Amino acid sequence: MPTMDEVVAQLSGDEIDYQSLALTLGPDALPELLALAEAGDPAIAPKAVFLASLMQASDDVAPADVVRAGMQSGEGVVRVAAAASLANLSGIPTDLFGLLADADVGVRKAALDSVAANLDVGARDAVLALAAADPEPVLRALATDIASRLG
Amino acid sequence: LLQLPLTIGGAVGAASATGVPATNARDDVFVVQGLLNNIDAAGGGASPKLVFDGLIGPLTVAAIRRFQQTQLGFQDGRVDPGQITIARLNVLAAVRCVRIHLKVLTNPTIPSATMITTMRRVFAQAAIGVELVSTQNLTLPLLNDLNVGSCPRGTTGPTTPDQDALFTNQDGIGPNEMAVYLVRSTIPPLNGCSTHPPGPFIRPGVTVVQAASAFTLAHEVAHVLGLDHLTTEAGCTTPDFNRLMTGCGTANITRLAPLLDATEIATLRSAAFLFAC
Repeated sequence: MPTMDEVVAQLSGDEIDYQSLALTLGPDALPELLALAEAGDPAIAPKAVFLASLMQASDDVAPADVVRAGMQSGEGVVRVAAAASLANLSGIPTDLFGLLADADVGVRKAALDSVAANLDVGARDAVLALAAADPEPVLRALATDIASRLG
Repeated sequence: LLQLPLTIGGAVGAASATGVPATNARDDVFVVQGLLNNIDAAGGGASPKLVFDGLIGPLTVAAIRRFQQTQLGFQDGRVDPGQITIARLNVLAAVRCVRIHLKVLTNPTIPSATMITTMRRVFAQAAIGVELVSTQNLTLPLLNDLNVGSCPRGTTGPTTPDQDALFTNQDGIGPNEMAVYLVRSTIPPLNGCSTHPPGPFIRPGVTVVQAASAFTLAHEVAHVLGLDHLTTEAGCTTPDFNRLMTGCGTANITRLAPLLDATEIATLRSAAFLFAC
């Protein structure tokens, strides 16, 4: 099991190969990634959230738990990472689609892009809400297109 | 004063003939050491190369004297701003420049001015000047968390639609000049990305995020100029935080000016995107 210091060291790179790092650290790192996501440091937490989303669940922590911690962050960049991470999850818990209703336009855009990538029907109501009322015209158009594909 | 690509703000080296000590500000000493190290020994350059530490000492003063004796026929061991020694050092070191245009979507936590100062300090060891040509604020909320895809280092692609859209904002950027886009974050989360759309109409450039380190800008620009990460860090089990091109996080660098080796300096100086300054 990697130590917290080892996980932080791996996340400190300016550029990270997430697919490779997910294989290197493996699900045993999920408790550390959850702790980093909850700590919310804008330099590390987004990386922890995104990395976790590429892993299988461990005995104690599911990737969605780490994404949820990111979703609850007060830092926009952490919530953006959580929203982008939705594209990597299979079987997304419906509460995570709350990212589509985030006050931050960057978070909503990242969440929409993720839904467009995996077309999870659980997102349908939230996407329809965006299509009807998002203040950003580009996001309304994108949501309308995604909603039509969700059926 | 002479207009030189690599300048100093105060005197470097020995006290004057009348006993006035040189100020030896560390950034000025970095510039002189970098210039002396980029001149061959036959031309009066430092031999052996000076340690690039920004600290004045007998070896740096001796190297200044040797250069002056070789090139100028006198030696006082002192480099004064705007005078013949610094001018000749610039000529002999064949100083080149990288010209930067900042495009600001989100101001970084470490001020961009600090990033530029840091980059100047680092690039001085390759006798490369850094000119900040312009700064422009951009309001592009949908590109502020930029999807950079796989972000292959220092290449022209593949780029994402986000990158293609952002890099169309090229106001005022001329040939051989470089754009630096300061954004809030990237997707996936990186400190910076050096991938840029291909030219010739789109200028080269990099993306740097709000949480970047003081060295991320220099690191990313170095990627565009041809440098890759160190190959000796073994998956960050043996990181080298004395070097700019560490792949294990420039935030861990503690030197005032992280080092470039001779091969890296040669690569930088032969890069296509340098400006003849």
